[in-house]
Order: sequence, then C-alpha cells, then structure tokens
Amino acid sequence: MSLWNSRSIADRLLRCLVGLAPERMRDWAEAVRAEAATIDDDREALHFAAETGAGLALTFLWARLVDALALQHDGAEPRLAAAFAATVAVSIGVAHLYVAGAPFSMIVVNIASLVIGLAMLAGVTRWHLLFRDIHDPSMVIMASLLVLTSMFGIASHGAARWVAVGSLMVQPSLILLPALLMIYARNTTQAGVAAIITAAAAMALQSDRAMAGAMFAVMAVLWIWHRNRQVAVALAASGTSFLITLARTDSLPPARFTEGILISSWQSHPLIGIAVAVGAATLLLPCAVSWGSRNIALERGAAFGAIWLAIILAAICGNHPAPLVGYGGSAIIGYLLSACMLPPKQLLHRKLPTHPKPVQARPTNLARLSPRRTSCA
Amino acid sequence: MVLATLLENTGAWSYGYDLAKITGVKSGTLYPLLIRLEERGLLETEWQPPAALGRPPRHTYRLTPAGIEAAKSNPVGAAKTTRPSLRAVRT
Repeated sequence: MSLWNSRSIADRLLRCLVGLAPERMRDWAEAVRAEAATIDDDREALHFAAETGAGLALTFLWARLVDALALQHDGAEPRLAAAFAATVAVSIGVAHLYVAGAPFSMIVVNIASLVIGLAMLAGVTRWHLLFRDIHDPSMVIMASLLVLTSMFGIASHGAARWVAVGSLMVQPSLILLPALLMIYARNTTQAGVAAIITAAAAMALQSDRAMAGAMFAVMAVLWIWHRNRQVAVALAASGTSFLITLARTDSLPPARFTEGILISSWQSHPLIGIAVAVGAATLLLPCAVSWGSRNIALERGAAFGAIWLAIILAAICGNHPAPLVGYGGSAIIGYLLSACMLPPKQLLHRKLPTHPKPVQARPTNLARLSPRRTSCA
Repeated sequence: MVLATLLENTGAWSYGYDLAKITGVKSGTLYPLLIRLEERGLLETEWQPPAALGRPPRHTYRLTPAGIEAAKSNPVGAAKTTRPSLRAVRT
C-alpha cells in the first residue's frame, strides 16, 4: 500500500482523531474509524474521514478544555479553581499596588487575607459536616450582622458600611453577603427568604449599590431554576433594595488603591491595565469550571459568577472596591468564604453512559478491510 | 432532522455513515450532534459485532424512550424526513 494513497491518509487522520479524543469520547472516534473502514471507495473514505475529523476535532478539543478546567477526572473541584483564581488575582493586585507605590501595609493586609481565606477554604471539607444543619441560623445571623453594621457601623458620606477591627476598616457586607447568597442558593428556605429580605434592607440602609446589585443578580439567576414563591419574594426584595441604592445619591469619594483600580490601572500603563483586568476576570473561573456540569453544580457556579461579576461591574462603573485586585482584605476573605459554598467535586461528575466492548479487536489497517456493508443482520 | 430520522427507525439500530447519507447532514455535523444527544440521554449506542470475519465492529445508534418523546414532540420535523431509503439501515 502506498504511504500516501487516499485510504492510508484517511486511516492516519482517524488515528490522530482517536488520539485527540478525551477518554470519555474515545468510543466516538473509534466509531468513525470503523465506519470509514466500511466505505468501499477510497476517496469517499478520505472525504468522510476529513469531514468527520474536522467536526469532531472541535468537539474533542472543547471537551478536553472543559475537562482541564473542571479537572473532572482528577478529583479536583470549583473550590480549587477559586483558590487558584484568588491567588492569581491577589498576586496581580499586589504587584500593581507595589508598582503604584502603595503603602507596604496594604500589601501585607492583602497577602495575610489571602492566607486566611485559603486556610478557610482548605478546612471547609471538615467544617461542612459540622455546619450542614445550621444553614438557616447562619443566614439569619449574617443578615442581622449586616443590619447592625448599617445601624452602628462607621459611616462616611452617608454610607455606613464599615466596622473597625483594630486599625483596620472591615466591610462586613463584602465578607458576609456573598457567603449568605451562596448559602441561600443551596437552601431557598423560608428562613433564607427572611434573611435575604433583612440583608436587602441592610444594603438599602448602607446605600451599597454594588452589594445590592450582587444580591439582585443572584436572585435573578436563581429565578431561572426556582420559579417559586420564596425566590420571587427574595427577587422582589433585592430588586427593591437595588433600586433604592440607585435612587440615593452616592457621594462617597474613591479610596485610593481600593476603588477605581480597574480604570486607573490603564492610565498607569496598558499592560498593567490588561493584567488587572485579567486578574478580575479570573475571579469568574469557578463559574466556568461548573459550566457543563449537572444542574445543581451549574446553579451554584452561576450564582457565584453572578455575585462576583456584579461586584466587578460595580467597581468599573462606580466608586466601589475592585475585588482582590485592589487593596482590601474584606473582598479577599469574602471571595474565598463564598467559594466554600461552591459544589464539591462529587456534583461535577457526570454519569457517563457505558458501551459494551466490541467483540473483536478493531482493525489496525483500514486498507485490509473487505468491501463495505451497509446494514447489519 | 436526525432525531426525526432516528424516530422513524425506532427500535432498530442505525449507522452513522448511513444516517449522514439519509439525512443529508454532513458527518462533521452529525457526529457532534449524536454525542450531544447521547449526553442528554436521548440516544443509546452499542457496538455491534461484525457480520463476517475481517470486518470491524460498528457503532450503532437508536433513540431512548426519552429521545422518542423528544422526537415526537416535533412531528413536523419527523414528517419531513420520511424517506424510502430509510429502510436500508434497519436491522
């Protein structure tokens, strides 16, 4: 057989396709190869191989990308993606702070917050069993703390969002609200609705557009999956809160190195701007990792993505903290705390259909095959 | 179109190459489509033993009960694909 006749080229193409296929789709590549072997005409076989190979190569590449991101077969999970994303974003942020001449203490705070957040995330597997049955009280306590902050917190220009912890100013809504929303995403209970209404009132009182917008975004996402009364009420409450914050005047000046980073970094240097933008976009990686998985994992991943996308957009549009890439330990801890509520790896595993193994070893050389058969008895 | 063709062939196993010829869908489009149908539980697959020695086993396809329901929910598409040549792939 000539090395480069149509049949041998078709065979080589399809061998490449088998090599390209991820394990879970290997049967499909073998199926095309077997199918090509049934075609009598060599040119037709080559045409079939080329056409099918082109279509399936994209499918296989995409599947490999999804597998690589989800790490579905290596036992990893979106939480790992969140840890990776947080580390990347904080590293970029720290580099930017250093280049921009920020005080060294800001760099220390960001790095320390990352370490604390990663430690929380690492311990979440053990905590999960401990806290599994107290989701409702957790949500109510978190919402109550947000209300207390709006009433007794440190106020500036009409916004009461902060609490002093030693010499640090902590923003409880950035720490607690993403976690509360993620807990609600997995427990849309009556107590959860009460907590969401309370938190929505707190965001309206604090006049925090970014966090009220994040609440509304999550409820809108949940509405896709749960069109029930609980989610409808939560959606209405968060929507009202968001509208109130939009209606109220936001006269808070931007805090240097914390707010406006996503815009000001471009003015420093386009490369710095790109790096900071990439760092912020990386925060959505856990959402991408959950993509394509079962509904429950997809739902939580989408809720997580909605929270952080809304916060990032708020940071672009107004004087709100740029999460993780700017100075601020609250956002770093809040991001990793909310990542604790991402689905565990078990929810990502798809139950793949199994195929009976072929009864005979497949031919290694398509050219040896006898004339085609169009149907089977 | 593919779903409707498979519906017409309910209960019998179909081959990819023949499906492509019958439906007129390019094989590069057909196979990714079949993969998606299988992932959604609408299609079942099976390797069938070769009819004669020296022949390769072939991968065959047919609709699951859920796939039949999905195909029936679009009767217009099913009607359009009625073709005499379909019998050629019945087993």
